[in-house]
Amino acid sequence: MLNVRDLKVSYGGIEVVHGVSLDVAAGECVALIGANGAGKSSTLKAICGLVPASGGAISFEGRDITRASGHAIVRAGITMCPEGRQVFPQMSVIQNLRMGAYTRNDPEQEADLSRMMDMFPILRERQSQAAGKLSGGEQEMLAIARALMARPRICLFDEPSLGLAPKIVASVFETLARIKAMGMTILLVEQNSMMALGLADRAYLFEAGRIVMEGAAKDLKNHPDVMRAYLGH
Amino acid sequence: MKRFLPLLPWLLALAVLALLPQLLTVKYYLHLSILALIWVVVAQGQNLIQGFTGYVSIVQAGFMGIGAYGSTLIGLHFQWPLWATIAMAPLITALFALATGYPSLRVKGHYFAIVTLAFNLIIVIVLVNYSELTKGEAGISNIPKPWGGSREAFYYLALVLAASLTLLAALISRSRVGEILLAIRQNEDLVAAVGIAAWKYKLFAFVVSAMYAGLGGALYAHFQGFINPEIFGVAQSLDAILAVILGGSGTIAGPAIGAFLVVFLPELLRFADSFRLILYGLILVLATIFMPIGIVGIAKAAFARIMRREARHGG
Repeated sequence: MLNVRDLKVSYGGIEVVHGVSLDVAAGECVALIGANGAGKSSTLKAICGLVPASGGAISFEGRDITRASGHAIVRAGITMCPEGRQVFPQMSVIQNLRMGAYTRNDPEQEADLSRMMDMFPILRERQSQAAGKLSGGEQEMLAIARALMARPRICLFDEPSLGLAPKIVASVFETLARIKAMGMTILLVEQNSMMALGLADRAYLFEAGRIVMEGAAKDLKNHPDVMRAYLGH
Repeated sequence: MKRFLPLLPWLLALAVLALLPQLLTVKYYLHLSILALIWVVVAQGQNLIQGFTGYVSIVQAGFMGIGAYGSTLIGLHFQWPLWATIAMAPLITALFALATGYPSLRVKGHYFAIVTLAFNLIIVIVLVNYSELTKGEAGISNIPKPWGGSREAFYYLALVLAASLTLLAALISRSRVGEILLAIRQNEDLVAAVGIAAWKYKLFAFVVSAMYAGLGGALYAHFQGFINPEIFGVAQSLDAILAVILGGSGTIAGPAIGAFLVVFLPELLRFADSFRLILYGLILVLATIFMPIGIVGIAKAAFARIMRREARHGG
Protein backbone atom coordinates (compact mmCIF):
# COMPACT_ATOMS: atom_id res chain seq x y z
CA MET A 1 0.00 0.00 0.00
CA LEU A 2 2.74 2.42 1.06
CA ASN A 3 6.18 1.91 -0.44
CA VAL A 4 9.25 3.93 0.43
CA ARG A 5 12.41 3.38 -1.63
CA ASP A 6 15.85 4.71 -0.71
CA LEU A 7 14.39 7.81 0.96
CA LYS A 8 16.81 10.58 1.90
CA VAL A 9 15.94 13.59 4.02
CA SER A 10 18.19 16.60 4.63
CA TYR A 11 17.82 19.68 6.76
CA GLY A 12 19.83 22.60 5.40
CA GLY A 13 22.34 20.39 3.61
CA ILE A 14 22.82 17.93 6.48
CA GLU A 15 21.44 14.53 5.60
CA VAL A 16 19.62 12.87 8.51
CA VAL A 17 17.93 9.98 6.71
CA HIS A 18 20.40 8.11 4.49
CA GLY A 19 18.36 5.97 2.12
CA VAL A 20 15.57 4.19 3.91
CA SER A 21 13.26 1.61 2.30
CA LEU A 22 10.12 0.30 3.90
CA ASP A 23 6.70 -1.07 3.00
CA VAL A 24 3.32 -1.09 4.68
CA ALA A 25 0.66 -3.49 3.39
CA ALA A 26 -3.08 -2.81 3.69
CA GLY A 27 -4.40 -3.70 7.14
CA GLU A 28 -0.93 -3.94 8.62
CA CYS A 29 0.42 -2.17 11.69
CA VAL A 30 4.06 -1.25 11.23
CA ALA A 31 6.27 0.41 13.86
CA LEU A 32 9.43 2.46 13.35
CA ILE A 33 11.50 2.21 16.50
CA GLY A 34 14.88 3.46 17.60
CA ALA A 35 16.58 6.12 19.66
CA ASN A 36 15.87 9.83 19.61
CA GLY A 37 17.37 11.41 16.46
CA ALA A 38 17.58 8.16 14.51
CA GLY A 39 15.48 9.58 11.66
CA LYS A 40 12.12 7.93 12.38
CA SER A 41 10.10 11.11 12.63
CA SER A 42 11.88 12.67 9.66
CA THR A 43 10.93 9.62 7.60
CA LEU A 44 7.32 9.98 8.69
CA LYS A 45 7.30 13.70 7.94
CA ALA A 46 8.73 13.09 4.48
CA ILE A 47 5.98 10.54 3.78
CA CYS A 48 3.26 13.05 4.58
CA GLY A 49 4.97 15.90 2.75
CA LEU A 50 5.76 18.05 5.78
CA VAL A 51 9.46 17.99 4.89
CA PRO A 52 10.73 17.48 1.33
CA ALA A 53 12.55 14.28 0.43
CA SER A 54 16.05 15.01 -0.89
CA GLY A 55 16.24 11.64 -2.60
CA GLY A 56 14.40 8.38 -3.22
CA ALA A 57 10.74 7.73 -3.93
CA ILE A 58 7.51 7.37 -1.97
CA SER A 59 4.44 5.79 -3.51
CA PHE A 60 0.99 5.24 -2.11
CA GLU A 61 -1.36 2.75 -3.74
CA GLY A 62 0.88 2.79 -6.79
CA ARG A 63 0.85 6.59 -7.11
CA ASP A 64 4.06 8.55 -6.73
CA ILE A 65 3.67 11.08 -3.90
CA THR A 66 7.33 11.97 -3.38
CA ARG A 67 6.89 15.59 -4.45
CA ALA A 68 3.20 15.99 -3.53
CA SER A 69 2.25 18.77 -1.11
CA GLY A 70 1.10 17.98 2.41
CA HIS A 71 -2.57 18.71 1.76
CA ALA A 72 -2.61 16.70 -1.47
CA ILE A 73 -1.24 13.72 0.47
CA VAL A 74 -4.04 14.01 3.04
CA ARG A 75 -6.53 14.03 0.19
CA ALA A 76 -4.90 10.89 -1.20
CA GLY A 77 -5.81 9.10 2.06
CA ILE A 78 -2.77 9.46 4.32
CA THR A 79 -3.47 11.18 7.62
CA MET A 80 -0.86 12.05 10.17
CA CYS A 81 -1.33 12.43 13.88
CA PRO A 82 1.64 14.69 14.69
CA GLU A 83 3.68 14.40 17.86
CA GLY A 84 2.95 16.44 20.94
CA ARG A 85 -0.87 16.17 21.21
CA GLN A 86 -1.64 18.68 18.47
CA VAL A 87 -5.07 20.28 18.83
CA PHE A 88 -6.58 23.68 18.05
CA PRO A 89 -6.53 24.94 21.67
CA GLN A 90 -9.22 27.62 21.40
CA MET A 91 -11.67 25.49 19.44
CA SER A 92 -14.14 23.17 21.11
CA VAL A 93 -13.67 19.42 21.02
CA ILE A 94 -16.42 19.15 18.39
CA GLN A 95 -14.89 21.87 16.22
CA ASN A 96 -11.56 20.06 16.39
CA LEU A 97 -13.19 16.87 15.20
CA ARG A 98 -14.98 18.71 12.38
CA MET A 99 -11.65 20.22 11.27
CA GLY A 100 -10.37 16.66 10.96
CA ALA A 101 -13.03 15.96 8.34
CA TYR A 102 -12.02 19.04 6.34
CA THR A 103 -11.03 17.12 3.21
CA ARG A 104 -14.30 15.18 3.09
CA ASN A 105 -17.58 16.25 1.60
CA ASP A 106 -19.65 13.10 2.03
CA PRO A 107 -22.84 13.16 4.09
CA GLU A 108 -21.58 10.72 6.72
CA GLN A 109 -19.45 13.17 8.70
CA GLU A 110 -22.06 13.61 11.42
CA ALA A 111 -22.40 9.85 11.79
CA ASP A 112 -18.62 9.57 12.10
CA LEU A 113 -18.65 12.33 14.66
CA SER A 114 -20.98 10.42 16.94
CA ARG A 115 -19.05 7.20 16.25
CA MET A 116 -15.86 8.92 17.47
CA MET A 117 -17.63 10.04 20.62
CA ASP A 118 -18.88 6.51 21.20
CA MET A 119 -15.32 5.33 20.88
CA PHE A 120 -14.00 8.08 23.17
CA PRO A 121 -16.77 8.76 25.73
CA ILE A 122 -14.62 11.45 27.37
CA LEU A 123 -14.82 13.49 24.16
CA ARG A 124 -18.62 13.39 24.25
CA GLU A 125 -18.53 14.54 27.85
CA ARG A 126 -16.26 17.45 26.94
CA GLN A 127 -17.60 18.16 23.47
CA SER A 128 -18.15 21.90 23.93
CA GLN A 129 -15.04 22.55 26.02
CA ALA A 130 -12.01 24.28 24.54
CA ALA A 131 -9.48 21.64 23.52
CA GLY A 132 -6.69 23.56 25.27
CA LYS A 133 -8.43 22.94 28.59
CA LEU A 134 -8.28 19.14 28.29
CA SER A 135 -5.70 17.04 30.10
CA GLY A 136 -2.72 15.65 28.18
CA GLY A 137 -4.26 12.21 27.81
CA GLU A 138 -7.58 13.64 26.67
CA GLN A 139 -5.80 15.83 24.12
CA GLU A 140 -4.01 12.79 22.70
CA MET A 141 -7.38 11.00 22.39
CA LEU A 142 -8.78 14.05 20.63
CA ALA A 143 -5.76 14.16 18.31
CA ILE A 144 -6.27 10.49 17.42
CA ALA A 145 -10.03 10.91 16.91
CA ARG A 146 -9.38 13.99 14.79
CA ALA A 147 -7.03 12.02 12.56
CA LEU A 148 -9.63 9.27 12.14
CA MET A 149 -12.29 11.84 11.17
CA ALA A 150 -10.52 12.21 7.83
CA ARG A 151 -11.38 8.54 7.11
CA PRO A 152 -7.79 7.84 6.11
CA ARG A 153 -6.75 4.66 4.35
CA ILE A 154 -3.54 4.77 6.37
CA CYS A 155 -2.98 6.58 9.63
CA LEU A 156 0.48 7.76 10.67
CA PHE A 157 1.17 8.25 14.37
CA ASP A 158 4.21 10.24 15.47
CA GLU A 159 5.24 9.45 19.07
CA PRO A 160 1.74 9.12 20.54
CA SER A 161 3.19 8.35 24.00
CA LEU A 162 5.46 11.43 24.12
CA GLY A 163 5.23 13.27 27.43
CA LEU A 164 2.37 11.22 28.86
CA ALA A 165 2.22 9.45 32.23
CA PRO A 166 2.75 5.65 32.05
CA LYS A 167 -0.89 4.95 32.87
CA ILE A 168 -2.06 7.27 30.10
CA VAL A 169 0.45 5.70 27.69
CA ALA A 170 -1.16 2.35 28.34
CA SER A 171 -4.61 3.68 27.54
CA VAL A 172 -3.34 5.38 24.36
CA PHE A 173 -1.95 2.06 23.20
CA GLU A 174 -5.22 0.32 24.06
CA THR A 175 -6.90 2.84 21.81
CA LEU A 176 -4.41 2.18 19.02
CA ALA A 177 -5.06 -1.54 19.42
CA ARG A 178 -8.80 -0.93 18.98
CA ILE A 179 -8.15 1.14 15.86
CA LYS A 180 -5.95 -1.64 14.52
CA ALA A 181 -8.70 -4.18 15.27
CA MET A 182 -11.07 -2.07 13.18
CA GLY A 183 -8.81 -2.85 10.24
CA MET A 184 -7.03 0.49 9.98
CA THR A 185 -3.60 0.44 8.37
CA ILE A 186 -1.14 2.02 10.80
CA LEU A 187 2.41 3.33 10.57
CA LEU A 188 3.65 4.18 14.02
CA VAL A 189 6.80 6.03 15.12
CA GLU A 190 7.57 5.39 18.76
CA GLN A 191 10.47 5.63 21.19
CA ASN A 192 8.67 3.42 23.64
CA SER A 193 9.86 0.28 21.84
CA MET A 194 8.27 -2.15 24.26
CA MET A 195 4.79 -0.71 23.72
CA ALA A 196 5.27 -0.32 19.98
CA LEU A 197 6.50 -3.89 19.47
CA GLY A 198 3.58 -5.16 21.56
CA LEU A 199 1.13 -3.50 19.18
CA ALA A 200 2.76 -3.80 15.75
CA ASP A 201 2.80 -6.69 13.30
CA ARG A 202 6.15 -5.70 11.85
CA ALA A 203 8.82 -3.22 12.82
CA TYR A 204 11.89 -1.43 11.47
CA LEU A 205 14.73 -0.51 13.80
CA PHE A 206 16.39 2.84 13.01
CA GLU A 207 19.91 3.80 13.96
CA ALA A 208 21.63 7.02 12.84
CA GLY A 209 19.38 7.54 9.84
CA ARG A 210 19.45 3.95 8.56
CA ILE A 211 17.33 0.86 9.03
CA VAL A 212 19.54 -1.67 10.80
CA MET A 213 16.98 -4.38 11.41
CA GLU A 214 13.51 -5.33 10.24
CA GLY A 215 11.11 -8.16 10.80
CA ALA A 216 8.07 -9.42 12.67
CA ALA A 217 7.53 -7.38 15.83
CA LYS A 218 7.69 -10.41 18.09
CA ASP A 219 11.04 -11.48 16.59
CA LEU A 220 12.50 -8.02 17.16
CA LYS A 221 11.15 -8.01 20.67
CA ASN A 222 13.10 -11.18 21.44
CA HIS A 223 16.24 -10.26 19.54
CA PRO A 224 19.12 -9.97 22.02
CA ASP A 225 20.54 -6.77 20.47
CA VAL A 226 17.19 -5.03 20.56
CA MET A 227 16.53 -6.23 24.08
CA ARG A 228 19.85 -4.92 25.30
CA ALA A 229 19.75 -1.57 23.53
CA TYR A 230 16.10 -0.58 23.62
CA LEU A 231 14.08 -2.67 26.00
CA GLY A 232 16.25 -2.31 29.06
CA HIS A 233 16.99 -6.00 29.57
CA MET B 1 -34.80 39.23 20.54
CA LYS B 2 -31.86 37.80 22.45
CA ARG B 3 -30.12 37.06 19.16
CA PHE B 4 -29.97 40.74 18.33
CA LEU B 5 -28.81 41.86 21.75
CA PRO B 6 -25.10 41.75 20.82
CA LEU B 7 -25.86 44.16 17.95
CA LEU B 8 -27.18 46.80 20.33
CA PRO B 9 -23.81 48.39 21.24
CA TRP B 10 -22.98 48.53 17.54
CA LEU B 11 -26.22 50.34 16.70
CA LEU B 12 -25.67 52.75 19.58
CA ALA B 13 -22.11 53.47 18.46
CA LEU B 14 -23.31 54.02 14.88
CA ALA B 15 -26.04 56.38 16.06
CA VAL B 16 -23.56 58.43 18.10
CA LEU B 17 -21.10 58.50 15.21
CA ALA B 18 -23.85 59.53 12.79
CA LEU B 19 -24.80 62.48 15.01
CA LEU B 20 -21.21 63.43 15.80
CA PRO B 21 -20.79 66.22 13.17
CA GLN B 22 -23.79 67.97 14.74
CA LEU B 23 -22.41 67.53 18.25
CA LEU B 24 -18.85 68.64 17.61
CA THR B 25 -18.49 72.39 17.70
CA VAL B 26 -14.71 72.40 17.29
CA LYS B 27 -13.94 71.66 13.65
CA TYR B 28 -10.56 70.21 14.56
CA TYR B 29 -12.25 67.33 16.37
CA LEU B 30 -14.28 66.59 13.28
CA HIS B 31 -11.00 66.50 11.36
CA LEU B 32 -9.55 64.02 13.87
CA SER B 33 -12.72 61.92 13.78
CA ILE B 34 -12.38 61.56 10.02
CA LEU B 35 -8.76 60.47 10.42
CA ALA B 36 -9.88 57.99 13.08
CA LEU B 37 -12.53 56.52 10.76
CA ILE B 38 -9.89 56.13 8.04
CA TRP B 39 -7.73 54.39 10.63
CA VAL B 40 -10.64 52.08 11.47
CA VAL B 41 -10.42 50.82 7.88
CA VAL B 42 -6.63 50.40 8.12
CA ALA B 43 -6.80 48.68 11.54
CA GLN B 44 -9.59 46.29 10.49
CA GLY B 45 -7.32 45.22 7.65
CA GLN B 46 -4.36 44.80 9.99
CA ASN B 47 -6.53 42.71 12.31
CA LEU B 48 -7.29 40.21 9.53
CA ILE B 49 -3.64 39.22 9.20
CA GLN B 50 -2.41 40.02 12.73
CA GLY B 51 -5.42 39.29 14.93
CA PHE B 52 -7.10 36.42 13.12
CA THR B 53 -4.25 34.75 11.26
CA GLY B 54 -1.56 35.46 13.85
CA TYR B 55 0.99 36.99 11.48
CA VAL B 56 2.24 40.41 12.62
CA SER B 57 2.78 42.41 9.46
CA ILE B 58 4.70 45.72 9.58
CA VAL B 59 3.85 47.03 6.14
CA GLN B 60 0.30 48.32 6.60
CA ALA B 61 1.34 52.00 6.25
CA GLY B 62 3.44 51.09 3.22
CA PHE B 63 0.32 49.62 1.63
CA MET B 64 -1.57 52.79 2.59
CA GLY B 65 1.11 54.67 0.69
CA ILE B 66 0.64 52.52 -2.40
CA GLY B 67 -3.11 53.19 -2.27
CA ALA B 68 -2.60 56.91 -1.67
CA TYR B 69 0.01 57.43 -4.40
CA GLY B 70 -1.80 55.03 -6.73
CA SER B 71 -5.07 56.92 -6.58
CA THR B 72 -3.38 60.34 -6.72
CA LEU B 73 -1.08 59.53 -9.65
CA ILE B 74 -3.77 57.86 -11.74
CA GLY B 75 -5.91 60.97 -11.28
CA LEU B 76 -2.98 63.24 -12.10
CA HIS B 77 -1.69 61.45 -15.20
CA PHE B 78 -4.76 59.85 -16.71
CA GLN B 79 -7.39 62.36 -15.58
CA TRP B 80 -9.62 59.57 -14.29
CA PRO B 81 -12.60 60.68 -12.22
CA LEU B 82 -11.94 60.81 -8.48
CA TRP B 83 -14.17 57.86 -7.57
CA ALA B 84 -12.56 55.63 -10.16
CA THR B 85 -9.08 56.38 -8.84
CA ILE B 86 -10.16 55.65 -5.25
CA ALA B 87 -11.70 52.38 -6.41
CA MET B 88 -8.43 51.47 -8.15
CA ALA B 89 -6.38 51.98 -4.96
CA PRO B 90 -7.25 48.68 -3.23
CA LEU B 91 -6.79 46.79 -6.51
CA ILE B 92 -3.29 48.18 -7.10
CA THR B 93 -2.42 47.46 -3.47
CA ALA B 94 -3.69 43.90 -3.87
CA LEU B 95 -1.24 43.33 -6.74
CA PHE B 96 1.67 44.54 -4.59
CA ALA B 97 0.46 42.41 -1.68
CA LEU B 98 0.31 39.31 -3.89
CA ALA B 99 3.87 39.89 -5.06
CA THR B 100 5.23 40.57 -1.58
CA GLY B 101 3.02 38.16 0.36
CA TYR B 102 3.91 35.07 -1.63
CA PRO B 103 7.60 35.10 -0.65
CA SER B 104 7.22 36.61 2.83
CA LEU B 105 4.52 34.19 4.06
CA ARG B 106 7.03 31.36 3.72
CA VAL B 107 8.59 32.48 6.98
CA LYS B 108 6.87 32.73 10.34
CA GLY B 109 6.85 34.77 13.51
CA HIS B 110 9.54 37.40 13.87
CA TYR B 111 10.98 36.59 10.47
CA PHE B 112 7.70 37.42 8.76
CA ALA B 113 7.50 40.66 10.75
CA ILE B 114 11.04 41.63 9.67
CA VAL B 115 10.45 40.78 6.00
CA THR B 116 7.30 42.92 5.92
CA LEU B 117 9.14 45.72 7.74
CA ALA B 118 11.77 45.59 5.00
CA PHE B 119 9.02 45.93 2.37
CA ASN B 120 7.73 49.02 4.15
CA LEU B 121 11.24 50.52 4.12
CA ILE B 122 11.59 49.73 0.41
CA ILE B 123 8.24 51.35 -0.37
CA VAL B 124 9.31 54.55 1.40
CA ILE B 125 12.73 54.55 -0.33
CA VAL B 126 11.07 54.19 -3.73
CA LEU B 127 8.56 56.96 -2.93
CA VAL B 128 11.42 59.26 -1.90
CA ASN B 129 13.77 58.52 -4.77
CA TYR B 130 11.49 57.98 -7.76
CA SER B 131 10.87 61.70 -7.64
CA GLU B 132 9.97 62.24 -11.32
CA LEU B 133 6.80 60.36 -10.54
CA THR B 134 6.24 60.90 -6.82
CA LYS B 135 7.84 64.38 -6.37
CA GLY B 136 10.03 62.82 -3.68
CA GLU B 137 10.15 64.09 -0.13
CA ALA B 138 8.38 67.32 -1.04
CA GLY B 139 5.25 65.26 -1.64
CA ILE B 140 2.21 65.95 -3.77
CA SER B 141 -0.19 68.72 -2.84
CA ASN B 142 -3.50 69.95 -4.21
CA ILE B 143 -4.86 66.43 -4.47
CA PRO B 144 -8.53 66.72 -5.48
CA LYS B 145 -11.05 66.41 -2.66
CA PRO B 146 -14.61 65.21 -3.15
CA TRP B 147 -17.57 67.56 -2.69
CA GLY B 148 -15.39 70.64 -2.89
CA GLY B 149 -13.62 69.67 0.31
CA SER B 150 -16.70 69.53 2.56
CA ARG B 151 -15.61 68.00 5.86
CA GLU B 152 -19.13 66.92 6.87
CA ALA B 153 -19.68 65.05 3.61
CA PHE B 154 -16.28 63.36 3.85
CA TYR B 155 -17.06 62.37 7.42
CA TYR B 156 -20.14 60.44 6.28
CA LEU B 157 -18.22 58.83 3.43
CA ALA B 158 -15.56 57.64 5.89
CA LEU B 159 -18.23 56.49 8.35
CA VAL B 160 -20.09 54.44 5.73
CA LEU B 161 -16.85 52.83 4.50
CA ALA B 162 -15.53 52.14 8.02
CA ALA B 163 -18.86 50.60 9.06
CA SER B 164 -19.27 48.43 5.97
CA LEU B 165 -15.66 47.24 6.02
CA THR B 166 -16.01 46.40 9.70
CA LEU B 167 -19.11 44.39 8.78
CA LEU B 168 -17.16 42.68 6.00
CA ALA B 169 -14.37 41.78 8.45
CA ALA B 170 -17.00 40.32 10.80
CA LEU B 171 -18.48 38.25 7.96
CA ILE B 172 -15.04 36.99 6.93
CA SER B 173 -14.21 36.01 10.51
CA ARG B 174 -17.44 34.03 10.83
CA SER B 175 -17.07 32.29 7.48
CA ARG B 176 -15.39 28.98 6.72
CA VAL B 177 -12.31 30.95 5.59
CA GLY B 178 -12.29 32.85 8.88
CA GLU B 179 -12.43 29.59 10.80
CA ILE B 180 -9.35 28.37 8.94
CA LEU B 181 -7.53 31.67 9.60
CA LEU B 182 -8.20 31.19 13.32
CA ALA B 183 -7.00 27.60 13.03
CA ILE B 184 -3.76 28.83 11.42
CA ARG B 185 -3.21 31.19 14.35
CA GLN B 186 -3.79 28.38 16.84
CA ASN B 187 -1.77 25.62 15.22
CA GLU B 188 -0.49 26.06 11.69
CA ASP B 189 1.25 22.68 11.47
CA LEU B 190 -1.98 20.94 12.37
CA VAL B 191 -3.80 22.88 9.65
CA ALA B 192 -1.45 21.29 7.14
CA ALA B 193 -1.93 17.90 8.80
CA VAL B 194 -5.72 18.01 8.32
CA GLY B 195 -5.18 18.62 4.61
CA ILE B 196 -5.61 22.37 4.24
CA ALA B 197 -3.27 24.36 1.98
CA ALA B 198 -2.59 26.98 4.65
CA TRP B 199 -0.57 29.27 2.35
CA LYS B 200 -3.63 30.05 0.23
CA TYR B 201 -5.55 31.26 3.26
CA LYS B 202 -2.61 33.22 4.63
CA LEU B 203 -2.15 34.92 1.27
CA PHE B 204 -5.87 35.70 1.16
CA ALA B 205 -5.72 37.33 4.59
CA PHE B 206 -2.59 39.28 3.67
CA VAL B 207 -4.00 40.55 0.36
CA VAL B 208 -7.38 41.52 1.83
CA SER B 209 -5.64 43.28 4.71
CA ALA B 210 -3.54 45.20 2.18
CA MET B 211 -6.67 46.16 0.22
CA TYR B 212 -8.11 47.68 3.38
CA ALA B 213 -4.87 49.66 3.82
CA GLY B 214 -4.86 50.71 0.15
CA LEU B 215 -8.37 52.08 0.41
CA GLY B 216 -7.51 53.76 3.71
CA GLY B 217 -4.48 55.38 2.08
CA ALA B 218 -6.53 56.69 -0.87
CA LEU B 219 -9.12 58.14 1.52
CA TYR B 220 -6.31 59.79 3.46
CA ALA B 221 -4.85 61.38 0.31
CA HIS B 222 -8.17 62.78 -0.88
CA PHE B 223 -9.09 63.99 2.58
CA GLN B 224 -5.84 65.77 3.43
CA GLY B 225 -5.10 66.89 -0.12
CA PHE B 226 -1.41 66.33 0.53
CA ILE B 227 0.82 63.27 0.79
CA ASN B 228 4.53 62.66 1.20
CA PRO B 229 6.52 59.46 1.80
CA GLU B 230 7.06 60.13 5.50
CA ILE B 231 3.35 59.66 6.26
CA PHE B 232 3.59 56.04 5.15
CA GLY B 233 6.64 55.04 7.15
CA VAL B 234 7.22 52.20 9.58
CA ALA B 235 6.10 54.36 12.53
CA GLN B 236 2.58 54.44 11.09
CA SER B 237 2.66 50.68 10.48
CA LEU B 238 3.41 50.32 14.17
CA ASP B 239 0.38 52.51 14.91
CA ALA B 240 -1.77 50.03 12.97
CA ILE B 241 -0.36 47.17 15.03
CA LEU B 242 -0.95 49.11 18.25
CA ALA B 243 -4.52 49.94 17.27
CA VAL B 244 -5.18 46.21 16.99
CA ILE B 245 -3.41 45.31 20.25
CA LEU B 246 -4.85 48.19 22.30
CA GLY B 247 -8.40 47.60 21.09
CA GLY B 248 -8.32 43.84 21.23
CA SER B 249 -6.56 41.53 18.80
CA GLY B 250 -8.82 39.09 16.96
CA THR B 251 -12.03 40.89 17.89
CA ILE B 252 -14.21 43.03 15.62
CA ALA B 253 -14.81 45.98 17.93
CA GLY B 254 -11.17 46.08 19.06
CA PRO B 255 -9.51 47.55 15.96
CA ALA B 256 -12.28 50.17 15.68
CA ILE B 257 -11.73 51.33 19.25
CA GLY B 258 -7.96 51.08 18.87
CA ALA B 259 -8.06 53.25 15.73
CA PHE B 260 -9.76 56.08 17.63
CA LEU B 261 -7.19 55.68 20.42
CA VAL B 262 -4.11 55.96 18.20
CA VAL B 263 -5.54 59.10 16.54
CA PHE B 264 -6.96 60.84 19.63
CA LEU B 265 -4.51 59.82 22.35
CA PRO B 266 -1.55 61.87 21.04
CA GLU B 267 -3.91 64.85 20.72
CA LEU B 268 -5.32 64.49 24.23
CA LEU B 269 -1.77 64.43 25.54
CA ARG B 270 -0.97 67.85 24.10
CA PHE B 271 -1.11 69.32 27.62
CA ALA B 272 2.18 67.54 28.28
CA ASP B 273 3.81 69.73 25.63
CA SER B 274 7.24 68.44 24.65
CA PHE B 275 6.78 65.31 26.75
CA ARG B 276 3.74 64.41 24.67
CA LEU B 277 5.25 61.65 22.55
CA ILE B 278 7.26 60.26 25.46
CA LEU B 279 4.04 59.99 27.46
CA TYR B 280 2.25 58.43 24.49
CA GLY B 281 5.04 55.87 24.17
CA LEU B 282 4.90 55.11 27.88
CA ILE B 283 1.13 54.55 27.79
CA LEU B 284 1.53 52.18 24.84
CA VAL B 285 4.29 50.20 26.53
CA LEU B 286 2.31 49.86 29.76
CA ALA B 287 -0.90 48.98 27.92
CA THR B 288 0.83 46.29 25.89
CA ILE B 289 2.41 44.78 28.99
CA PHE B 290 -0.59 44.95 31.32
CA MET B 291 -3.51 44.48 28.93
CA PRO B 292 -2.34 42.25 26.09
CA ILE B 293 -5.95 41.20 25.41
CA GLY B 294 -6.92 44.81 24.76
CA ILE B 295 -9.89 46.90 25.81
CA VAL B 296 -12.43 44.59 24.20
CA GLY B 297 -10.79 41.54 25.75
CA ILE B 298 -10.94 43.11 29.21
CA ALA B 299 -14.55 44.21 28.71
CA LYS B 300 -15.53 40.70 27.59
CA ALA B 301 -13.86 39.10 30.61
CA ALA B 302 -15.55 41.56 32.97
CA PHE B 303 -18.93 40.94 31.32
CA ALA B 304 -18.48 37.17 31.65
CA ARG B 305 -17.62 37.60 35.34
CA ILE B 306 -20.75 39.65 35.96
CA MET B 307 -22.90 37.09 34.16
CA ARG B 308 -21.44 34.29 36.26
CA ARG B 309 -22.10 36.20 39.45
CA GLU B 310 -25.70 36.85 38.37
CA ALA B 311 -26.16 33.18 37.63
CA ARG B 312 -24.76 32.21 41.02
CA HIS B 313 -27.14 34.55 42.84
CA GLY B 314 -30.06 33.06 40.97
CA GLY B 315 -30.41 36.19 38.82
